[in-house]
Amino acid sequence: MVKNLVVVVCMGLIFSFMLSVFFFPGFGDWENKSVADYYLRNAFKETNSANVVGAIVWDFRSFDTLGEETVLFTAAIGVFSLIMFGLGKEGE
Amino acid sequence: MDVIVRTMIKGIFPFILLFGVYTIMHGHLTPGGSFPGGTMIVVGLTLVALAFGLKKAERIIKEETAHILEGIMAFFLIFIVLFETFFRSILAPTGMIFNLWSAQQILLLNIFGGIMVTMALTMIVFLLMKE
Amino acid sequence: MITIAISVLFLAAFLVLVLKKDMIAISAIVFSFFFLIFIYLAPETMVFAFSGWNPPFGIVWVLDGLGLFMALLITGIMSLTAIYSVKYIKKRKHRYYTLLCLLTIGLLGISLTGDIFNMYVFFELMSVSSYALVAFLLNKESTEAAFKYLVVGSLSSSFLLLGIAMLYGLAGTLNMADLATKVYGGPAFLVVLGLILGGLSLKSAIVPFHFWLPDVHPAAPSPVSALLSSVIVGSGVYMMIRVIFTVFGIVSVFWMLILLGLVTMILGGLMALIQKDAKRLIAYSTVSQIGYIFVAIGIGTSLGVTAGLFHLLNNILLKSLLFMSFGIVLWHTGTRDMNRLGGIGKQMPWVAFCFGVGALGTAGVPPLNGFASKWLIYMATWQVSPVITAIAIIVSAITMAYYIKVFSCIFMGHSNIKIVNKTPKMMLIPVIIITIMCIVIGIFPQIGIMFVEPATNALLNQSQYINAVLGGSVI
Repeated sequence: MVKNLVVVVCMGLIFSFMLSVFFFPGFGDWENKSVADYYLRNAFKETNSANVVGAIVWDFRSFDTLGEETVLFTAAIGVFSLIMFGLGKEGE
Repeated sequence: MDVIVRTMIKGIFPFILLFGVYTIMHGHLTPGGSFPGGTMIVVGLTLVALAFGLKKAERIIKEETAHILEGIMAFFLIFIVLFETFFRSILAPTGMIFNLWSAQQILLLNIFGGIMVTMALTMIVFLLMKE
Repeated sequence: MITIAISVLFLAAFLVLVLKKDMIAISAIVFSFFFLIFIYLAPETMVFAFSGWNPPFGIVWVLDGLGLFMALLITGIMSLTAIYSVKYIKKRKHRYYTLLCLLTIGLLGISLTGDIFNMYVFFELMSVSSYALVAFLLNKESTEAAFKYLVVGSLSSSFLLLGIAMLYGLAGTLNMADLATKVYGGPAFLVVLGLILGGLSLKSAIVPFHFWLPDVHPAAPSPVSALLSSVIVGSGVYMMIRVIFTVFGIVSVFWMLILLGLVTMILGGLMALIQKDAKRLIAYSTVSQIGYIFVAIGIGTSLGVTAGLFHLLNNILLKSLLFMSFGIVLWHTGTRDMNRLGGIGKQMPWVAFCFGVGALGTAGVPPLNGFASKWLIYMATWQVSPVITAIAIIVSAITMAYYIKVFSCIFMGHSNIKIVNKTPKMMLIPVIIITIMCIVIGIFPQIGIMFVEPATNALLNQSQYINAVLGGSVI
């Protein structure tokens, strides 16, 4: 009984979230509406790169990419420091 | 593993490496960059480790080398991203479009990031294979 | 300028691993603390743009009152924890210090950034390094708790990312000041707010989403438990109030937050009465105090927000004090079960005194800092509805009850266990420093309120934030 109620509430929430799709601007409609306008018009002028995605990832927002590389490094350190559980030895 | 698998991987491994390095180096011209390119190189290494055993794959990239290279590349990456005012002379975009040396900041960052991703994923894959 | 502190911390994180010297990490964290004090003394809000791109198109870090308040607390507690763990962690110390440095970078990034996707990236960094730190002891309980934390944390990150992606689709920009001008209310933004707050409530342990906390906090090593309960949960609270007050700009009574905060207070207090494991009891006490903070912030008036932020400050200090002093007990005896510990007070009088200060402070006894912030919360909630004040006072009495239980079980009574070693000075000094700070803030609460004032002003003046980022000068 409770399980059915939970399922109904979850489905209601999912449908109400999906209704918000009607409020989005159209797909690919970036004129005067977002920061993407500046990026698409000026990426080649400012960074001399043919790949706008690459220019955004590595030039306009390079700090986020540095953060992501650090997350990758942290994951490697985490695996490295925890793998000894399986190998059964605890050393440096 | 089988003789067939070993021969095929012996033949195809240089091309996987080549394609990975190509994706990293041309990050400012074609889609890609450091993350997919680094992953491709690691996929090649994983294939070698699966087919020939872990010892032979470890002779290509040793663990100490992975640690040190990752540290050095992170060092350079941090300096270029955070202190870009000091590197304007190297990083100013010059050159024609579609040349390799056209967008210097993106090229350098892709190379350093690619080596860093390769070393991090290699460490994870080799450690998980030792289990 | 702030890049100096960040790059020092990044370099320390990588160098500790390669050169294998722990002092690099400790000195980097202490250096960033003093650097942030130096920036705190500057009178105006500094906005720092990365890589030379101006605010809506590039990433900015805004060093305003609230961000610097959190950043100073974070680096202060991290430096004391780093000094404490020199003697506590015995194996694989270099990787521990690398993870600690990365955790500091993540927490600093969350507090100081002015760009919502940058906040998500540093939230991920903080989460991943805390997953690895919780499992650091490598016994069965720690690995199980870390796995549980990983699953819940990934769920929270997914909701947060979905909310941020929807927010970018609707508003077109990712800068927090720019978003504040473009958010206009309506059903779509309500969905976005729901997703973002839902993701963040998993991290800051409000009642329907607190189930991971009492399993994770006891299983971590003691300095990591201190960090988890004080600073990481505090960052969850900071992110929620940043999104509500600065990005969405709602300043009114939030009945939902007050209601959830009340339920959290009551549930945390009641569950803590029946625990046998001392660290699990303190973890439920954390849930209860976070309930107080949400009730106070949910009121929305200037007095309420000041009371909530002051209680956040006190919670950070007191919880780290409690976990670190219990960590000394754990280091000597090796057991957390309150049935087996007993009568250690005569053998460790200093540690008993510090734990007592922490316990009485959290319960809200007069000459300590908990009393000042709880009094402010009572005054703030009295203006809305006296029922809330009554419930808060009853939960305070319950808090007093279970802290008396913990203190007498551990420190008084028959002595079953013999303490053989001497407590190392490096473990005792940070505990004594925090105890002195708690007593000083308790006797002179004006110091605490003076420290919280700029944070409250920055939080409630959204237009000042927007002008500083979009209109003013950018470094």
